[in-house]
Amino acid sequence: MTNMAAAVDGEVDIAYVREVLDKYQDARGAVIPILQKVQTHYGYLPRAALEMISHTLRMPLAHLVGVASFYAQFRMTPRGKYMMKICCGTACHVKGSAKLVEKTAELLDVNHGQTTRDKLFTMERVACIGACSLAPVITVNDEAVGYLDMEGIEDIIHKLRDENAIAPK
Amino acid sequence: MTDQPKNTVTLTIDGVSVTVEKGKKIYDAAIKAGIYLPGLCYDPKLTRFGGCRMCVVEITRKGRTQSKWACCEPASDGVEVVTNSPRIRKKQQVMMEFLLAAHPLDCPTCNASGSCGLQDAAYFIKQTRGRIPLKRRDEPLLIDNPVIERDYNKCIMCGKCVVICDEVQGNGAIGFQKRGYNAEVGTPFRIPLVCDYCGQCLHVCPVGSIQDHTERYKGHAWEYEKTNTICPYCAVGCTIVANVKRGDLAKVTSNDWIGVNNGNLCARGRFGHGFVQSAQRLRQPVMRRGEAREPVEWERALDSIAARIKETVERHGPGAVAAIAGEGMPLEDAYLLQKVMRAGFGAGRIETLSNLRSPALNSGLFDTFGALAPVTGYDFTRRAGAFFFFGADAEKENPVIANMVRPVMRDHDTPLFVANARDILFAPKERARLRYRYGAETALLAALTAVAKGGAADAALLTAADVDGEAFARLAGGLKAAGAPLVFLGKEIHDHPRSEDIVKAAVELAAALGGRALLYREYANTMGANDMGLSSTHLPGYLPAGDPDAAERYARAWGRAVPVYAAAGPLFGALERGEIKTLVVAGCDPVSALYGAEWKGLIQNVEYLAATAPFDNETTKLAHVTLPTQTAMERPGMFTNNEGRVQLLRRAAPPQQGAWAEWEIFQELGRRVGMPLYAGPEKVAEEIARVVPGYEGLTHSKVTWGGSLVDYASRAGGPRALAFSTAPVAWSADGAHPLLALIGNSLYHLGILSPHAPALVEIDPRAWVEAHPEDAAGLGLRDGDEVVVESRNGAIHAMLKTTYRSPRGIVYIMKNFSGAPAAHLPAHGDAAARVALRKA
Ligand code: SF4
Ligand code: SF4
Ligand code: SF4
Ligand code: FES
Ligand code: FES
Repeated sequence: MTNMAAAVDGEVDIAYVREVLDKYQDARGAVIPILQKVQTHYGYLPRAALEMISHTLRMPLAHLVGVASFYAQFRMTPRGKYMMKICCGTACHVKGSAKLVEKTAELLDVNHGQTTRDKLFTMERVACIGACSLAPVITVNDEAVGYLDMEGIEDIIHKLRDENAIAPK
Repeated sequence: MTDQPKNTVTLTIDGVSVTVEKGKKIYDAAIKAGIYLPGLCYDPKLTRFGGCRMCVVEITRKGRTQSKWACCEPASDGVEVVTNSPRIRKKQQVMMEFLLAAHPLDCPTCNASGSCGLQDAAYFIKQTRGRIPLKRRDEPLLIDNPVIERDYNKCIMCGKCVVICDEVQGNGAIGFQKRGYNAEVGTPFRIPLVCDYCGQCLHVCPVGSIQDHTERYKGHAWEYEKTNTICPYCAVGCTIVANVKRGDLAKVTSNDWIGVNNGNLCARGRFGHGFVQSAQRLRQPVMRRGEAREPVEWERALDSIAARIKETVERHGPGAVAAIAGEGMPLEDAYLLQKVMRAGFGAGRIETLSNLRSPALNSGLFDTFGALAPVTGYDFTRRAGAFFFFGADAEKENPVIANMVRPVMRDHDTPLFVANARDILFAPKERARLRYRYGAETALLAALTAVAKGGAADAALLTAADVDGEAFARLAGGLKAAGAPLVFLGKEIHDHPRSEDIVKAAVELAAALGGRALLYREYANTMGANDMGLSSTHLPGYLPAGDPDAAERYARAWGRAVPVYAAAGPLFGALERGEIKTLVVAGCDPVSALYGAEWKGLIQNVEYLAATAPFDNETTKLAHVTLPTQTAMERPGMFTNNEGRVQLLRRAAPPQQGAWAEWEIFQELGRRVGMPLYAGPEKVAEEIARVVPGYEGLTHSKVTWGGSLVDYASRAGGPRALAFSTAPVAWSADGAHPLLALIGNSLYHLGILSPHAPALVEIDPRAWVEAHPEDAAGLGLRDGDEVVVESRNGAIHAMLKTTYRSPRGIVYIMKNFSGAPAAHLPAHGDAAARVALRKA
């Protein structure tokens, strides 16, 4: 399992959470939309935000986190600037997506669901994204890149790293 | 078929005919018929089940047979249920194969072995090795708190722990996390379990996934001798089950089918039994010689006490002897104490801790209220139109009352309202919540009563109570609409200097809406101690001690003269004036428990102090003679709970060597002045059942199962007029001490026993004080800081907890830590103190 506690950062400004909650006052049934809004804003569900939501909705934290961890769409660790989703659907699998996963994991030194230390990349394995004709395919921040081979993935990662390098080595 | 009441249905299960209430499930009917089903996720007291599929049965209705799950299928008239056909077994075996495929078969070292639902079920359906290869999960054993140990490798995901923690405990500390094969029940982010530590989750867990950490390796289910008795802590009166192996008390469990608590317990009841076998127990009488305390023989100690009481009465008159008794003492002991004091020594000044604080609500209860006395059977919870917790933090004070209320709220949608001087929440959710100014309780209640009676609330009262207008309107309107509230008055009211007026006002509100009031009582036998006449003003059965006829009645029953005694004012004054020469303190620690630091000096100054206690405490340390006593778990006897139910105590653990039961001590004192001996507590109980009004016939054998209610009606008579003042108490501002400190009991402690229960001490080791985060910040203090709480009367050290439960200007302190006696902060006669906080 991923160690969620370790990756949680407490230093988040939760003013936005308050704003969302004000809109959904007293609405236990609105848990999912609230979580979605909060995740869109922060890129993930910060622990402080979850605590605030739990407190306001009078929903025990254990149950709220239970909901959040049930749905694949929610993440409780901060995401990197680039979300690398590697499709592991049937078509991509046949075209060797497992190798892509391995390669990416090696290049980024992270596992599924984790974020690199420099907060640049988050890697995720996902189910079919509906672009089978391009298999094997990954998305980088919702932009699909198809027919990918080992070199291709290496290129993408290097390029993005270079673009974001503060000072060239 | 003969005609049968409309609200029941009759069906047959494996050929046995059984009748159950409408709405019950087939599973309930099977339980009633004594037929075992290997279901693992059903619990009649919880909703949400139907997950394990092991309770499958075949139902034939109008010639058509179907398989159904017994826990989901309502019982209906005339159906035939089969639970044991080969087809059913086959299905169960397939389900079991899946369950066992992921279950580590650690039975040899699992504490649940022998009381494990999975073992029982697999054995029952004659499970053989299946086709699925076994695969173990390899999660670590989680020991992250003192009492609840979790091994989720064994979890079968039945969900009962999650549901009981939520529905019954209102805590929701654990939930389902993640999904699919990775799903687990547990805390969010796997943080350590921080909760009420009630252990309801471990009680319902069918396997060994959640266990009592304190029990580890002490024994297996089949090795324990199990004895039902009554929890020695608070006045709820829960039935506990002691599990003893070869003389060692290994753990306490609970039983859903016996007693008032439906299997629920709080941390004190379930994990607070370690005092029984504590190495700190007193095992021999000690007498003081100069500064030194020396062990002495029982005979000598008893001779000394009896001679001293006798001599004091002869030289200074009966008013020079007094007794203060604890309310954790069973009825027999309480009864004998007052009988020996009165008929043996002629001394009538006898008090309990709560009587010293508010006689009008204790021994004077029925004089004050008559038939309107705030004593109500728990069964009213099921009939109440609403719950109103006033000055009560039921979740922390009487947790099992909260456990009774939540399922009623769940099943009947009964609204719950809360009003408190602090910002107290009640889970799942109160319909309206109000915070009032401490000291203005009667004003608020009078305003609520006015609305209840169809009028309008006097604006001046609302201003006095300093309440939020909108919240008040919701509360007043809600109560009125719901009607018939159960008004539960908590510790804040019980200890309040104006408690008598507040309870009158609350009783009036309840009566105006056709409801009832129920007053918090602190200790396991507070009600019984009053009933038994541990009071200067009342004989057993609330007969007035100053009434010659009443004295004559007992004189005839006891065959000895009984003094007609009109108490000469409060004990405090008598001690101050030096009138009390000899004081007997039985089973309590008044020096720590009574509000006001002055008590210590007064008690210290009496010429002769005799104490009985299972452990040394702040009072025994001052005593000339201390006698070691058995606790309520080591001896038979009876307690009378909150609702006036007399319940039987059984010897749940072997008595500790050298300790006597208090009734034996009192009868030995009596023997020295010519009073009779009893063959056992059951004989004392028989006498109580003969002579005490209201207790007619309540012998040990009568109260064996489920107890019996005391008949207070005869003594209560009609209702009394309840005049009270609505003028708020003025809290004089004191610049040096700007905060108001309210004092309470920790959820994990109560009375003289909990400081010697290692598990409770580990959960809650030291004094703490709750304050509003902004008050704290204003003083440069942070959560977790070590602080000094200081009043005019003294200062204590405590750990700061910042919380919104404390409104601005109010702090809340626990009185359960002898190193930090919070009861010494207020002045005598008060229950709250003006204090200042500073960093230690
Ligand atoms: S001990 Fe009680 S409060 Fe804690 S998790 Fe178990 S049921 Fe919930
Ligand atoms: S821990 Fe026990 S009670 Fe909870 S889901 Fe697992 S098996 Fe059921
Ligand atoms: S302390 Fe009170 S609520 Fe807790 S188990 Fe004992 S009797 Fe029940
Ligand atoms: S399987 Fe990868 S896009 Fe469909
Ligand atoms: S007991 Fe019925 S499905 Fe588990």
